[in-house]
Amino acid sequence: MSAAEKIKKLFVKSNVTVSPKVDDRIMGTILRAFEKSKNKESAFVPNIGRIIMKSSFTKLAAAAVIIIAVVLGITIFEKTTKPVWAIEQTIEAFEKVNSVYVEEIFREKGTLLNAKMWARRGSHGKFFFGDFRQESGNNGYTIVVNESENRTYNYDPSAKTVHVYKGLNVTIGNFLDVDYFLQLQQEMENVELEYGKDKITGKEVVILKYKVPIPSKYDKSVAKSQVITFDLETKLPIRWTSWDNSDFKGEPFSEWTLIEYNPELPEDTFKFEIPDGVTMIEK
Amino acid sequence: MEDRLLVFRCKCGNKKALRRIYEKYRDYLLILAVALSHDESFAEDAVQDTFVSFTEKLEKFELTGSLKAYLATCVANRIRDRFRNRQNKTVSLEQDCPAAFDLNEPGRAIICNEQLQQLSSALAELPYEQREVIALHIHGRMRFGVIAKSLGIPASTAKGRYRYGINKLRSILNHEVEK
Repeated sequence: MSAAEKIKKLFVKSNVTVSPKVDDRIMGTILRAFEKSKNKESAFVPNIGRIIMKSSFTKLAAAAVIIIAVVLGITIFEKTTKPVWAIEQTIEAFEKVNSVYVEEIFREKGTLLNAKMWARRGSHGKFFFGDFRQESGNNGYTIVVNESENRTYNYDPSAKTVHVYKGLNVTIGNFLDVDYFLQLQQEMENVELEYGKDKITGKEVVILKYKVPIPSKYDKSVAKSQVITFDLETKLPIRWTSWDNSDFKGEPFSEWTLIEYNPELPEDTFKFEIPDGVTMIEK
Repeated sequence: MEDRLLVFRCKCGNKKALRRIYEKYRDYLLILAVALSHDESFAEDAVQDTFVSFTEKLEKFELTGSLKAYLATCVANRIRDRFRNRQNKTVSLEQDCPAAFDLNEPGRAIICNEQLQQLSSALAELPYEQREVIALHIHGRMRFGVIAKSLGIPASTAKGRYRYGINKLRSILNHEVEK
């Protein structure tokens, strides 16, 4: 065995046991520094005030500046009362989402189809491969993914068959994932933002135009460009449109036309009820 | 990706996220610090100082690479600074020699297992510059280019220090086996 391998082995087998007392002491010091750094900004304010107020001339000048600032502030505030959006707010808001209901319009081989989807965070904390249900409005095709049963059911009404797969084979997609928004956070310099009023809901929104970087480990779908509409009040997406080209050209291949967050889902939402007269095919 | 989220949460003032980062990397950093310093109280200080510094800089901190590598480099830098300070002070050889510390001493707050003691003793025989590159490359899994950049030295120098250090360790480890 080479010296490097021996050292590597020693590192791998190395271990430290830290007493709770030491742990508490270190963590206490870190948290004190944390608190201190949070209060740092406010600690500066009185000093600035004291410096300004040392002479009567600066007192008058400061008063004048304050009056102008207040007048200007009121004028500007009246014109710009719209809330501002930052992707971090969406990430924070999204962490409180545990279930979703989505209505989708999509194109498959030139045909316009629609679907309703329900999803719930899985035991691993992500929507990706958690409980999921999709019902097609066109042909009744239904997919049910049940995490506790570890089964995926594909019901085809025209063939009167239910294919049952072991495992969680279908997912709502990776859009509904903190990782996706974190990826967006990295790309914020390359996105276009437009503030305005949503034509459908009348809500104040921000519309984000995003060219999906290729290759992206976060999005393995065919989406190459997307437009996401965020509600400025909740900070969450209310509409999601995806194109299979990177220029937002032509008809989008998928549109999430309605997204509801934390809907109350009946217990049997992700339980597959076997319809009468169907053939069950275990895969 | 978890680290990015943790850093983001810390920036939002979430103490739990800070605690999670500490708990996630505490042992890894302590092992690195003990291996580099051969002194557990020294190692404890270096890890604590690293986290305090990280916390103080959080507002302007941008995670561009790996948080683990960033923290490991900070620990190595702190230990290097401490060694330099020690060298500058006129103290007796017994006090100054890192090999004089007994990691097995009972009642210590941080207990190192046998492998870490052996590792730390072997590395203590090397000049600090060599053990730093070896520890960051093997334990930190950092590439020579990254190590070189963080230390402000050419990559060839980092590789050279690693090679010399490993050659020396070969004879140290063989000698220990013979004993």
